[in-house]
Amino acid sequence: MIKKYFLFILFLVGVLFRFWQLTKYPVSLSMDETAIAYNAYSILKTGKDEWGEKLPLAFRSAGDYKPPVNVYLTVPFIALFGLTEFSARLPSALFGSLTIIFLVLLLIKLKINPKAAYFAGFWLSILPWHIHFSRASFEAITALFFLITGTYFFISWIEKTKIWQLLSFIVCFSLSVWAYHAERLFVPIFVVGLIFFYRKQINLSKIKNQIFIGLLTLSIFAIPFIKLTFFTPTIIARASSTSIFRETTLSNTLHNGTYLNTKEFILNNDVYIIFRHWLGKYLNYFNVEFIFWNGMQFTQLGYPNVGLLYLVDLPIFLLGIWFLLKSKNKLLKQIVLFSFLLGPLPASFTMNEQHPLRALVWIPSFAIIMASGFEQVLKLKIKKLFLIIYFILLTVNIFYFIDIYKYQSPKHFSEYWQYGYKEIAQYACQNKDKYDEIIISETFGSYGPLNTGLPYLYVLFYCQSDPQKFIETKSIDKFSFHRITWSVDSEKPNRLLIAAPWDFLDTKIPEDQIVKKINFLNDKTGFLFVSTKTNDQKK
Amino acid sequence: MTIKKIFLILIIISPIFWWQFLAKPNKIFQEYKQIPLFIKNKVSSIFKNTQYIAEFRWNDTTKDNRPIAARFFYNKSQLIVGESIIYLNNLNPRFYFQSGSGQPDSPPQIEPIAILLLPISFMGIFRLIKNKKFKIIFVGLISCFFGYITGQINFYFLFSTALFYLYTSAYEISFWTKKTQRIFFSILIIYSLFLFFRVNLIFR
Repeated sequence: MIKKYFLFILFLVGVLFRFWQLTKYPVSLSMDETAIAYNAYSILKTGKDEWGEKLPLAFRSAGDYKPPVNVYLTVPFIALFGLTEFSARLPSALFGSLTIIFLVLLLIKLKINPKAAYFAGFWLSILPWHIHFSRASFEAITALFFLITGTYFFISWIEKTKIWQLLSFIVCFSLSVWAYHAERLFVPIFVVGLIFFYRKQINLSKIKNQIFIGLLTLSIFAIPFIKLTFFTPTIIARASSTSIFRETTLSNTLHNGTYLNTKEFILNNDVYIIFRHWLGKYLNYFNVEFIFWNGMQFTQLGYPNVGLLYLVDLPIFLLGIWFLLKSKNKLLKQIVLFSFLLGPLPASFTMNEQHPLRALVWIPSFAIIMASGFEQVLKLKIKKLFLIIYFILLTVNIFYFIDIYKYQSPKHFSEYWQYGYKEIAQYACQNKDKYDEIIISETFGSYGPLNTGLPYLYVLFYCQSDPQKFIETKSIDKFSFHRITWSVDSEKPNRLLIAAPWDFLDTKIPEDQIVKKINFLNDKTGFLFVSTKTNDQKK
Repeated sequence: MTIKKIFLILIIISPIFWWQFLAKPNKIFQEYKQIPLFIKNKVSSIFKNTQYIAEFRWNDTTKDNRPIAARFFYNKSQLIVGESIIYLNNLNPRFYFQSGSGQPDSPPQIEPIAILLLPISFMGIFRLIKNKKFKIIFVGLISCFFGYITGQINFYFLFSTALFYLYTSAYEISFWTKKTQRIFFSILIIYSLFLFFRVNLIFR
């Protein structure tokens, strides 16, 4: 029996952790969030994306071809609340909170004790891994929601074979694939696995009338996807830009078909080299330190950090494994083992070691293990004492996470969230009538010009620029975006130059020309606003 | 085959075992001579790297006016918990089944223990837990103590943990039928020969 008020309370806890000061933490809209929100605004106003393409299925944006689901889901929220930071972050936070409900329902469907399922729902509602990515318009959160919902409807369909359940799971799994890159690999393999595990329960004579409708629905989602994959650069471009083959440690060791002799062909073959390289990346995800201690990378290397799961979850996790090993629920064991091994697979094929965002599809398998752990705890003779100690330590862990997330992380990584661009855009918009041109540099960073941003997106967003005008002109009135060359740009009269101090190294700027300064949250100078002399001042 | 026999075969064909004879055998004694120094350095280093903690304390105390949080979260107990995680990290399967240490103690560009044994080793661990053979699991957990206390992440000090993984593989294989064992060992020996000749190609 599902207790609806429990689900509602869990949802509220999820909302609390995901919506509290939503626009303040993370400290600034990232480039991706700004791009998603402005493209949604552009769709709302013109029916086209920023590049003028009508209702695209992949958003070219900055050349990274963003998946379309988050953009389209953001449109109604922008229609309701306007082009604001809140409406940009609202869909992810909402879907993140809703995921908790469907996770509990899924766990109960998997025959886990309902009490343990509620505990696991609570676990997800306060999980740093899920909270952080829910707060910042990450497509992976939406994809995870559809993945969990799809799995829930799949099992429901297996039990009752209702046509709406079939359509629901096909739509949810398809939307999951359309929502984020990692699911493009994960979902097809996962669904094949699910069908295999449930093969004995699938009654072909009962469902043969549903197969045609199911395939038709699937083809509505699959055909455009196949077309995008094989006949346009969108999917391939994104995949190749993040592929492990871009890592020099791998690409420099490959022979690309030029072996010296047969011995080298057999013993030093590229297949083995690629396999070994990939294996290292894959095994890197099965690391206690990454999962329980520092996986979230909220602070720089060496500093105290937070894991994907709280450290206090470790004993419950181990109890969960113990419970699963003893369990007679073979189906549950198969699903958890399969999804646990499959989870880091998409992330392991990409650049970067240990990427918590790309590994987000791993959450359901952790949830099943944790739920099994809670089920085991509920069977202990000392369950009350165990739970009291667990919740005391959990409270300490939560406050520690809040301290790192709210107070420490912004000081370390404000610039990586493009902190400063909001103030730049707002100031530039308010004062653009005073200048003939405003030039904003794309390169910045507190330790060197190490980061490259897309300031034009922030100007479009915070100035609420007309999308139609931007589509037609591909420029913003009075704005230019390039690095500052002082000897050239300072000669232009009545300009406002906005750039990191690194762009002004070849000169000593007169103090009276510095109009404004923005510091990153580590107190290092982020941007200088320098006005050039007007023609009158020059005379 | 008995577990002992399987265990012995797995040891002999594992690169981490025969590599010690191909590389410089005397290096091992040079390393062991330095054990007191390694231990001294490790123990003194635990509370040495406190500057990160101090920086967070400073942030909380002076910038955010949270002196209680600063004292509560960022103190020596955090370093101790961190050390226990470092300890567990010595069991990281990547080190044993893929990367090795990258130093002379482990064979270059091949895995110290054949990758084919990775899933089998974990199946063995699960079977040990299921059969409540916790003593062996406990021995596995303490097997990396030597590596931890010396602060040396290499096979001169973590060979015992490699043996633990080989034992769990042997334990799992011992439950297989004779036919399955024969097929598996045929594949494993061919793969091990591949690894042996590969090392010779790269090492020459």
